[in-house]
Amino acid sequence: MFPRGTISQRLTRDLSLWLGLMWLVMSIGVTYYVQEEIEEAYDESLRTSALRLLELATHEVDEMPSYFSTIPEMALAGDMSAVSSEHLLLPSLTYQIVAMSGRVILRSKDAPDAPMMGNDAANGFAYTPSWRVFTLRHASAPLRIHVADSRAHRREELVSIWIWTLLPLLAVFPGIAWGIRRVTKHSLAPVESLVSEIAKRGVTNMSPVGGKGLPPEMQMICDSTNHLLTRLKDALDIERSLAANAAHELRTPLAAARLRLANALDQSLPETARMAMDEAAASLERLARRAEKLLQMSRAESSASFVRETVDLGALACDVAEDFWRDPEISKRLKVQISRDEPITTIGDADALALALRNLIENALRYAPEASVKVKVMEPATIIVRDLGPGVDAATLDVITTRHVRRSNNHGGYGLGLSIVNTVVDRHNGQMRLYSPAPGHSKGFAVALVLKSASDGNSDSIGTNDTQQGRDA
Amino acid sequence: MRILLVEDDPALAGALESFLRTNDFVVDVAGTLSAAKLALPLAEWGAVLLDLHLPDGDGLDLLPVVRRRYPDATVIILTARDLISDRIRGLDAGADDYLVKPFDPEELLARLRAVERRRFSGTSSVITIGDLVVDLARSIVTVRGESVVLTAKEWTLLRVFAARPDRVHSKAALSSALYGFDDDIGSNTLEVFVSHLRSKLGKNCIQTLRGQGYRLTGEGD
Repeated sequence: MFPRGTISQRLTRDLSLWLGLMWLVMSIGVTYYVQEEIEEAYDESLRTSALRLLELATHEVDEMPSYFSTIPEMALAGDMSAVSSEHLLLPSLTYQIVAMSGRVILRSKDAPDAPMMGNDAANGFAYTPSWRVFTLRHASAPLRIHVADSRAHRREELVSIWIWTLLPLLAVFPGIAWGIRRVTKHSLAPVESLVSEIAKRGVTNMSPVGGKGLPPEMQMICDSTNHLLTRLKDALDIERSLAANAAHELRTPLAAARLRLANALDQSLPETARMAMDEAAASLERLARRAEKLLQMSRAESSASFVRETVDLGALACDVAEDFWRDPEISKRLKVQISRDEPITTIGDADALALALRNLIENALRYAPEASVKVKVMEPATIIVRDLGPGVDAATLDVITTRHVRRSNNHGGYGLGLSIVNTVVDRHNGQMRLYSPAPGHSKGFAVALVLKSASDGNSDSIGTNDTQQGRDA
Repeated sequence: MRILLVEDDPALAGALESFLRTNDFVVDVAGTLSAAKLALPLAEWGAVLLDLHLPDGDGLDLLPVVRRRYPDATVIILTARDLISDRIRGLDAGADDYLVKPFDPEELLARLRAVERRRFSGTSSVITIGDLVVDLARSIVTVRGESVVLTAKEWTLLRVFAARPDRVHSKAALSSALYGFDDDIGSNTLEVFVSHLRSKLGKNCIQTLRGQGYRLTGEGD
């Protein structure tokens, strides 16, 4: 599965994420490097401070030996800090001057009372849990100095550096994302126009897509699509001309043969020859009807011939019925009823729908001989063909839409009628419902074609092959 | 009656020609649209049997030519195109009838005989529709044998219906048959005449097809 979203959205999201991640890594790297440098500089300042302080402290101790010797050391530490700070002029430095015995004899204000390091501490740098300490022993006097930086302070510095390298990213990030989005959208504009152009192509429009000024990658897609369209067009043309020609090629010789036979039957013939000719005429008629059904089936299944236009179902029912009404006998049996004056419309192929309706009427007239047949057009976009013949039993109703299954074996027919209807209705996203006995009657058979109303606008909600059945209603 | 057969398939043309000759029609065959146009002025044609799929064009192109020259000639389209849109197109173009190949030879014969009857006896033909018998020449209509008296406007309407009992007649077509362009027609005048006809001929004899028009069924009560 591909990630969700348009290419432009995905590019924007992924590029922004990567850019952010890279910046983060970079800022961590910078911070690490800066930290190393800062540590070094701080350490260097600790070392030089220690050297100078120890010298100064030693000098003071030399000048005030009595002071150091007479004043109790514990008290000294508190007072001396003020003194020493003034004297030493190093207010920001944290230090301890520790006697050999382990007593702190001089310290800065923020330095702890106890020595930072033990008596065995060597010269040089060391870490304690909260300090970075530089220890320096006096070369001659029994003194050592601890100069220290707070580790927490150093950490704070580090964090603030890190934050200041990250902050600009946060500030410019929306701008970057917006910029990437703009650029990708702009770069992908040809894709969108190509997609919308391809979407316009269909059975009625097979013209090549694309044009000048496309990027090379797009041009390749364009060329492949046009190649596909050409081949599709050829295939559809072949299918169309096959459907049209097959009808012509089959029907014309059949008509000629029927005329020749009719002509021959008009001559005075021996009885045996006449019987044979009658048989031949009957066979020819069966052949004609079978060919007719196969042509209809291929048209119903053909992808080439379907159009989508507004069809007035009332007018369609009348047009189809008029063809039957030419026979005075059928004129009496077949009735059309339309439920309202305003057009009842669907979107579809009028010829295919007429084909379906024609099959339903033919079936009804055939399977319900002498019974009345009613074609009812009603809202929403529904055509019902109902006969008051014998109908079928429940088991037959189940299998009746399958190709080559007939309602009964007594009435000819080729079992293709209902499956042609079903195919046509399926391709209009409609439903075919069968009822036996006919709703509201104790006998008969009814087929309802429930199509999409033209005013609905949506034609994709009902699934295909949705053949419902009813017993009575 | 002389018939012009416009058909490009030689086998069908030959079969149809000999079938029609056997049934006492005079037939001439044209294999192309141009041949048909040349043949049209040569005789007084009673009927034209027209194939639509011709090598040099659409058979429908011949219809205006025929109509101009022989307004009374009957044009029957014989074609392999069975789509309802083709049929409507053909009838709208002015054809009188439309038979799809392979048509029943007897049906073609029946249509041609009807044409012949109309031609040779003027408009006098007796049409039976259900329970109605309409004698157009003598203006007599009977319902199950009983004679019914109609007014002139009712006759006009019934003639239109009876001429094509298989068609649904639109309100517009019926109204224009009833009145000239200048007549002031009330919006429901047609309905009034239809209801008069119904009360005289039987209430189901004219069926209303909502939104489409009316059809003569010829049923009594």
